[in-house]
Amino acid sequence: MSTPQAPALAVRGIHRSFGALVVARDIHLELPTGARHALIGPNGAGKTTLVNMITGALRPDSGSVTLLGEDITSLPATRTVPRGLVRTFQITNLFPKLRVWENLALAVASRTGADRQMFRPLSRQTAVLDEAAQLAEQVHLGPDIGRYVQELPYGRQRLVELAIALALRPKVLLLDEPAAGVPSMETGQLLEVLQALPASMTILMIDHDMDLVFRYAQRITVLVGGAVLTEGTPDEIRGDERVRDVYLGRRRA
Amino acid sequence: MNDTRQIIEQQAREGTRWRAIEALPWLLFVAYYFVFETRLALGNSVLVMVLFTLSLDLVLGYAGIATLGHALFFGLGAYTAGIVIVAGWPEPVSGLLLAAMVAALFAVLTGSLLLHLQGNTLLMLTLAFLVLAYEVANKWTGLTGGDDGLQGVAAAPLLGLFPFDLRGQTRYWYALVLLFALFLLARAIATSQFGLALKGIRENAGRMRAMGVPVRRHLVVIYAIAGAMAGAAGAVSAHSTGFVGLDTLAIALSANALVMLVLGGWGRLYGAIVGATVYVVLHHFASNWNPFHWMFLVGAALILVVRFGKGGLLGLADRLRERLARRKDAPR
Repeated sequence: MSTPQAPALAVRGIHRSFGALVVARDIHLELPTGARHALIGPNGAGKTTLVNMITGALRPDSGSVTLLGEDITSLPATRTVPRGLVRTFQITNLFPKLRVWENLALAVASRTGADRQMFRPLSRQTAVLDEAAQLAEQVHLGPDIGRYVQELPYGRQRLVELAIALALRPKVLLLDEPAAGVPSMETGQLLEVLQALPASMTILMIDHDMDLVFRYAQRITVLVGGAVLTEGTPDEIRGDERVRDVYLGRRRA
Repeated sequence: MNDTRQIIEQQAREGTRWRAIEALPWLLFVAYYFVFETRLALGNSVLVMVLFTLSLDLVLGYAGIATLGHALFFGLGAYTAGIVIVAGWPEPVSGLLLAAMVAALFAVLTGSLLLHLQGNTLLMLTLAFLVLAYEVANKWTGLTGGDDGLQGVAAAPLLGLFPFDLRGQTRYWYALVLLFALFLLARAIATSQFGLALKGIRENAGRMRAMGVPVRRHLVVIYAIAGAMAGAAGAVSAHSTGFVGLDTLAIALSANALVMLVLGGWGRLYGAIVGATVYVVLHHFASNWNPFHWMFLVGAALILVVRFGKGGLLGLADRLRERLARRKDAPR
């Protein structure tokens, strides 16, 4: 099905309204393999709605989503995650009463199918536990590995969120405001982790943190009122009058 | 890296290894047989309720499935075991297996229909299936004996060797051996990767779905396993008492098991053992003391445990132990 030329992720003419309120207006988005793409826009621009439509959590009225050339419009996560489409959540969405390594083991086991095994003690799931340890190291969570997630400061919880996503071995990774609520001191560490991700991974980042977005993204799409205002390189976006008016200007003024 | 892996290893082992204290309930159950030779019928009903409550713990305590209909599987098991005997097949082990299978089958059927639901909706619909089954058993008198119950359930000697005697020796060991075997199964499941996935579903089913986990499949699997265990408990009850009544399909049975589980502490298996044992024994003596008002006693105990003992009696014991340990460590 998939051809080498097919974009890793393509959104074509996505449209969705709730009654009179249009939350997505003919949105087009195309990410080649290895893209570092960012989606920005003021509150209520429809960014998370778009992520929900890409991952199948919300059905678009019209338009399609393709992953590596394959139509995945409205498919549930049980079908899209194994194909390599993985998201993180804007509001931390974890297992707070479980330990960090248990959170990671849940994600690893769901990918490998080890979570169907009911007669081998967890302590003997060597492959799963090895990988959980590696993931923790990758996102600098080593020192917190044995703690309950609810005991961690918010910034560290965001790293657990990211590690869970990485455990699912994404080909396309959607990061919904990875830096939301992270103290500015700690965004550097987050950026470091993101920059170390393999170049073959395609990434769509949604964030309010302009500093992070402009340092990380190669291309930026600006969403306003459910529609694409413009798309370009960070320099083009920074120089765009309209973007400054609706978004940056309002914030920096 | 090595430190990280070692901490995981240590905690994973801690969560799965056998502790010495785990031998205690089983030693007590064995000791009971020798000490209370004249009260083996009571012991048998304790063991049956422990098994039933244990199966509820897998469903409710581990997987977080809100159900008031768990008695459905107990009743199905009891009636299946009873009906095959009345129909002329008195061999109990095959009857037990059949009862567990019938209960599991119904768990798969109802679970597939219901387990994408949550909370109150699920609570009401599990209850609805139970009430439905109750009415079917009530009206289908030709098969179930209706309101009079199924009389004359006389199982053949167990394994062809041990008749179900009046003193209750056979039924006590029958229930104890089966409980122990199924407890080992429940413990294996609870400490496995699948068991962790169930906890994940209990804590945050939406996140599990977003990770691509087939949440409903996992839930139906544990529902079927627990259904089979509950069915086995029902079958043991039928074989032991020689009778199956409508109370095996009553809402009260579901509710009682829930009370026992909360009393003992849910989500830790041993809570089912402690809760069911305390409840059934309390029931026995309190209702001798005053058949009408004994429920006050149980109610008061429950209020105290829920108010002061988060995590049931075992939760209370945990905190007591922690406090003692702290006092010992404190500098003088």
